[in-house]
Amino acid sequence: MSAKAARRILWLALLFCLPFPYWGIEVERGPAARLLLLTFMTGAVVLTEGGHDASIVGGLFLVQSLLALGLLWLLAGLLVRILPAARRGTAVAVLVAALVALAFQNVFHLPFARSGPQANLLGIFQ
Amino acid sequence: VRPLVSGLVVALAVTTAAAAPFERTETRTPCAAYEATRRPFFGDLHVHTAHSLDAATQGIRALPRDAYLFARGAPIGLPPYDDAGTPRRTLRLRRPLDFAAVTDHAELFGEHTICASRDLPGHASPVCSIYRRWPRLAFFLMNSRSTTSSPTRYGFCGPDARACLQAARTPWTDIREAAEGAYDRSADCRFTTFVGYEWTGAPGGNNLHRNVIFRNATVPELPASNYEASTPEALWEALRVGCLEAGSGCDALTIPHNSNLSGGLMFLLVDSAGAPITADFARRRAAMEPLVEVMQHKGDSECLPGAGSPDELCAFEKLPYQSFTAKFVPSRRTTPPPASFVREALKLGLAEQQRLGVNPFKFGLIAGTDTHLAAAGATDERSHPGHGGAGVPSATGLPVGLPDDIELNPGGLAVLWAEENSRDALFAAIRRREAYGTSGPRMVVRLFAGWSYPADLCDAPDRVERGYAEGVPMGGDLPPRPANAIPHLAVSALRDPGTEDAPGTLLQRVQIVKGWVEDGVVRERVYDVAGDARNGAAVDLATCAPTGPGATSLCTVWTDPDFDAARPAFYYARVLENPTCRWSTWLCNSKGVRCEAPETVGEGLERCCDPGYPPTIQERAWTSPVWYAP
Repeated sequence: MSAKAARRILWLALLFCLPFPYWGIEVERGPAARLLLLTFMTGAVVLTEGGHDASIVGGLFLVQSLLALGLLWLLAGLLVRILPAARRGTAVAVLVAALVALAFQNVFHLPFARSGPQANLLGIFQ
Repeated sequence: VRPLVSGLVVALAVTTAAAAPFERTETRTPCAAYEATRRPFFGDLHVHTAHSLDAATQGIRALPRDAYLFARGAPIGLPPYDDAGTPRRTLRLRRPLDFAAVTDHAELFGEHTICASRDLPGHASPVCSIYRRWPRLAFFLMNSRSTTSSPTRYGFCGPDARACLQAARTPWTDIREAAEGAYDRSADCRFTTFVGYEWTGAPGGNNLHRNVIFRNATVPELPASNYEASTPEALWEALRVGCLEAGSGCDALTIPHNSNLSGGLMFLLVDSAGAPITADFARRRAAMEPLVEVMQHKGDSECLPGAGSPDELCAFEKLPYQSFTAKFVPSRRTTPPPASFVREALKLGLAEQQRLGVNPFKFGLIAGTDTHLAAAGATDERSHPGHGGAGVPSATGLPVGLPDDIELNPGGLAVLWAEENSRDALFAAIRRREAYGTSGPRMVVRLFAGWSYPADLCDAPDRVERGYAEGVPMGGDLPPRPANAIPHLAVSALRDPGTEDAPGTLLQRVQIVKGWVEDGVVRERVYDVAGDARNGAAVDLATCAPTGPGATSLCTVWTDPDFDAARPAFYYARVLENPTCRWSTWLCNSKGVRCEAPETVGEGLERCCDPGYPPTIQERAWTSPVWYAP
């Protein structure tokens, strides 16, 4: 597996599985993918309806989303560097499996969610 | 037989109508229990149900009819609900209320209905998607949009907001029907309801909210919300046009609340356009707002300790922020301005009376819960489940630790002195301000003011009759002053007896709070007039058991030692119980928290040991003032 492919796979896994703290009225610890979804939905409201407060919240979500994307991209790159090049494919698979296993525990804290403040990956996107 | 009975009922109603000291605006069976010298009725005029967006987005399912059933003594289900729709918590009042009004936020009646109804256009809009998937986010976005000084409707409301206004008819009809269904029109007169709603203007996050209470079943087709009337003046005008002068028999008034969260805007001496208030404005405000809510779930608004008042007892259920915005953005917190508090407004009103000839802040005092769980009158410190709203949500799981934000409280009750438990009698009591508020307990408090009450009036068997005959009750104006007379205030208080399993607390003392204008400067002073502030009563903090002596009743005739006939003044009574445990202490004890043993402080219970919140409180009652004008 190439380093580039490994980095992309890890980045995606981190986006969906790693609890990432962000602020928007209340503090959540959720996957960055959820933050992206919140940004998308709030952005849709801002674009269709406008509104001062919605714009502020949407802007905050957007900044944090970009930050999350960047930080997790850097983290994925760092992990790829650490992994042994000879067994990169296996190592990436193990890491992804570990992240997925983690995400199926109630590691996310989501005051905004219908699923409840403590949730796992399934609860978030159900 | 039926026509004969109906005829008798109508004849009786007409007969009573002629005799009643208040106008009867509805046809109903006369109350069997009628007392010319009036009785206290306990109730709650500030109740939210699932028709309020900020309740619905917290998983509240109870509707107005559930709130009224609860107020009459039935249990109510509280969130969270399990998959079968069964509530995981229930609550029941130890004693039913005499009256209640559901006052849901009117601003988003239509939007909320559309977002929750699959078959209505707009259901699929991004806003409604957020409403369904991220209710807490919707709570913030939708509320903040609807409460600004120039609110705009969402696009899915359509031209002239027709879709949202049409959808708003569904909850408004339900509110009206629930009030009608729960109103006891029989001769028993056990329970009275009022149709009402909350107008929710909050420019810049500063609370200007008012509850609108209608006298009878004749109400406007739709409520005037912040969208239709985005200032208090516009609200009064909308009520004038749509109700008071509509020629339909409609009558209404507004009750402001949470001035403590108004950032100083609730009692400004300028109107919404920034112009100094005029005599006409003052007259309109005084006519539309005979009462103010002095205390509720989101804190006490009586007075500000420290800069605002030297009164130490003002330090009661105070919030550490001055507006809604400051609650959510701690960096914007400042000390609330004195003008956010009712006592300051009462003082300013005296000065305005001198300037304009009219007092714009001639308020009587009540309290309420502002429950967002439909739990009308749920003020018990022993079993506070939180009231939702601005507090801790419980839509998706039982709150971990404290069920409410530590700075909030279970709220209080409104008490009205009326001849009978009917809408007209209670509404008349509100209009004449013969009302008081309590922080939850049901102590019975009377206040009369006159010029010549004898010192032994408390012992007279006809003291109430003489109270009325020789003076005025709470809420009134002292009659013209005889030469060289000084005000005599007759005040009496009976402790709340409580119930067998939850006995009430003994009384500690009665105070008279006086405000006056002296050389153009407003002043205040608090007098202890009965009871004993140092009676030695205390509380065992480990068990919450009260100890020490207290009074079951207090009564005195007090004369003002500092009276100056040239200075306008007001007087109101404050009745204090012996100290008892605050709700947070009851709860923290039940969870086994001992602050000296950190290992006993579980998750979510950290604030049990916050020194900023006292373990005990002194429950209290505040009467409406009486006013003296030179």
